[in-house]
Amino acid sequence: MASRRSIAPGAALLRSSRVFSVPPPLPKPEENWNPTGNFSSDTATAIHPTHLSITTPQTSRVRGDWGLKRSLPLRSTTKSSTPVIRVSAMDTYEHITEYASAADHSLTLQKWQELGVALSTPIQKMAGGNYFKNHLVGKSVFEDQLDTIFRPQTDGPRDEEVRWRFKGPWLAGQSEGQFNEYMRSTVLRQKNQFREFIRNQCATEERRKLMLSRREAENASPPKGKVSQGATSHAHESTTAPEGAPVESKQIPLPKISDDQLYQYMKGLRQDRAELYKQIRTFLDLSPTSSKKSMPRNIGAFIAGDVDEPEMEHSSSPYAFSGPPKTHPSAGLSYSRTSSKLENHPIYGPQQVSKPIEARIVTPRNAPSHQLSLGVGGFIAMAPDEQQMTNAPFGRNIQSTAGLQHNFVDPDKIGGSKMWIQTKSASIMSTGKVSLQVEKADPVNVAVATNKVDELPVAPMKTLRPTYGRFGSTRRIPLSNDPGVAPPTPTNAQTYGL
Amino acid sequence: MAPLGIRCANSLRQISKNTTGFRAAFSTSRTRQAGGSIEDLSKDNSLPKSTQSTSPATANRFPATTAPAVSQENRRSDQPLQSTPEASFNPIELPGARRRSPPGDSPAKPRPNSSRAFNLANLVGKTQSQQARKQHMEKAVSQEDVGKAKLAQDLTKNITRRFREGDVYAPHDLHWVEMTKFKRMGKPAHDAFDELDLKPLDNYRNFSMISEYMTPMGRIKHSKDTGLRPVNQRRIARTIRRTIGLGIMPSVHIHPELLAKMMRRAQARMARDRGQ
Repeated sequence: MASRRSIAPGAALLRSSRVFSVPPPLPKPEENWNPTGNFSSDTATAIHPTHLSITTPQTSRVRGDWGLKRSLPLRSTTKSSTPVIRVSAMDTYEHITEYASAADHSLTLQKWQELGVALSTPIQKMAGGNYFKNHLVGKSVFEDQLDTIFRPQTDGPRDEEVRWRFKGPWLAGQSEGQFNEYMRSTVLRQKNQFREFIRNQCATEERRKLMLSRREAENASPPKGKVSQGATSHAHESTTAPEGAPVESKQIPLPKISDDQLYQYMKGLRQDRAELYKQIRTFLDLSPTSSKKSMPRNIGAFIAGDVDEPEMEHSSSPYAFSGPPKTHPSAGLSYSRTSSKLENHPIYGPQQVSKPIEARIVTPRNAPSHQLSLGVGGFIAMAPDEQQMTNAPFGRNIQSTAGLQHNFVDPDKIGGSKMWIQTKSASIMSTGKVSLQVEKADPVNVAVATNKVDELPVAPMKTLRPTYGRFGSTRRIPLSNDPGVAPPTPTNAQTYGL
Repeated sequence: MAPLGIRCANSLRQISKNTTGFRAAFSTSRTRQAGGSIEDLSKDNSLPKSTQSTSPATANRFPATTAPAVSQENRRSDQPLQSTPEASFNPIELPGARRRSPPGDSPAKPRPNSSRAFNLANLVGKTQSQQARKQHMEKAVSQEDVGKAKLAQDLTKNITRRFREGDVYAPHDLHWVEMTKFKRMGKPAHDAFDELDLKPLDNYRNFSMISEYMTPMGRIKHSKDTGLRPVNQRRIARTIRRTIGLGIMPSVHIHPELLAKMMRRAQARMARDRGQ
């Protein structure tokens, strides 16, 4: 707000209004590119919202007042149980406000918050079915080490291993044409800047060598001044600096590099490709890439030395395989650092695992997509890998009724086929989609959640008390082979801990 | 292929003949009445119709109570539940049902065209009607399963949208209106030659690439099918015209090598399906 100019009261009113606080819409999410065309719909729910969701209290809603330029029609806005809209156009040429229901994304967010899954760095599957695992994979995105976009100016630890935002593109995700366009438009125009950057790197290298040589010289010769009194104790320590000696990098100025020196340095860089690639990556701020094939598949291959040349530096960044995220790795979905929370059941006490969720079977196995997909809180998750009940060959039409529930749509089931699952972890993919990992829920946990513990099958004779619900475990520890021990019944108070 | 609505109604009609469930019984929906009014398959017209009401709504109101008790002779003509006569052969069979003999082959039941006057089955004591009822019940169960299975198959086949991991869905995404939109292929979002950094004219001899931009009748595709930007669309069109002019590409169909490959693939697929 300008201090000198006086703002008209009307202008001040508009500036503080809701209409002016609506942010501009985000660009539409990109779909997978298929050269022969895609099957898509313009009315299908997008993978992430692009417009602000607006709601209004009921008293205003019945009058059509949504805080916009005009009131909205009552017939379409008052008869809904989800009164949330998104405004695509505040005012059009035809003097109408274009709006649509935003219940799809708003309710999905609400359901997600009820799920209570914390977001972590993506887990990548390599060729051969192994998972890429290191100290940065599967960690919460809010870890101090990972949640950074800071680029230290001095050469310190490799920050690109942990950063999530980069100025340059992810070359591995670019097509041939996109890469050539990037080269033409950006890279080739920065030749002079790169040369100066290399000169700077050369100067830094020279200074480092100078520092090392000076330190070695000081350690070799007897130290002077106050320190000489305690020389015997300090002499062997090469790291401690004697007072007054200029070993701090700030104190040594960058040496001037002549063109000839620079030329020699560049020639050396051409041989040392790893160093050259590192310089290029730093200059262009490229996000780290790692080829799935270049990673050793198992420790045996690594020991045998069956790895790529050292030029292919394997980045330990969790985004090396799939690309850096477009937003913060949490995408604003959840701000919790962990999913480890203890849920308390009023009867059975604290539960080891969270409440199981009934997921909808959106596409059964025999659907055209040939993949069992589940709908969890509005998000599509892939079914956990489970043993197939029938080894039916591809294209087999009629299967046994036992496997029908997951192979075909069940027309008689009211509400559709559902499956009880447990959420494990979640991460945001580089495309902006949410990857939710789920696993099949334990029948005992399902019984606790649905209050049907009495209907659980009784434990067999030779086992010690099964823990129904308490800590969720179904580990059965055999007591003895003595059949004289009476089987514990589910109504036994001991099992409920009451 | 019949539209979805008609196909579903066909399957429902088949089920409604055989089910004894309450939902089907008390339903007054059109499909149920349509199923009830089909009398061509219920060939037993021995009883006079004047004593019974012919309207399907009233006649089929309580079929569950009458189904087990009524024997074959007393079966009402307009009751669709036991309407499948022995003579009709159900072509759809469950794998487990193969063990059951098809209708007409049961040794206990004498063939209507048999010239034998003396039947061993009659000596055993089971009447023809009891046997037929047992077989009907057996068949009814298997046909119910088959009808349900067929409906399940049809409904599953109509889930045309390929849901991918991370997609967000709302109830309207599972509606058939939204699903039908996913049957139509849209034009590509990006220009293929820009993405691959290729020039059409440099690939004039690549007949696979050239044929991709031609229709099966040999016409050059419109840009709404190719998704190319105008410059590249003109380039590919020029390349196709030159290739045809050179004589190395036919003008009324795609390259014969590609036609041969497609035919070979189709034959292999048919052989694989037959062999299954």
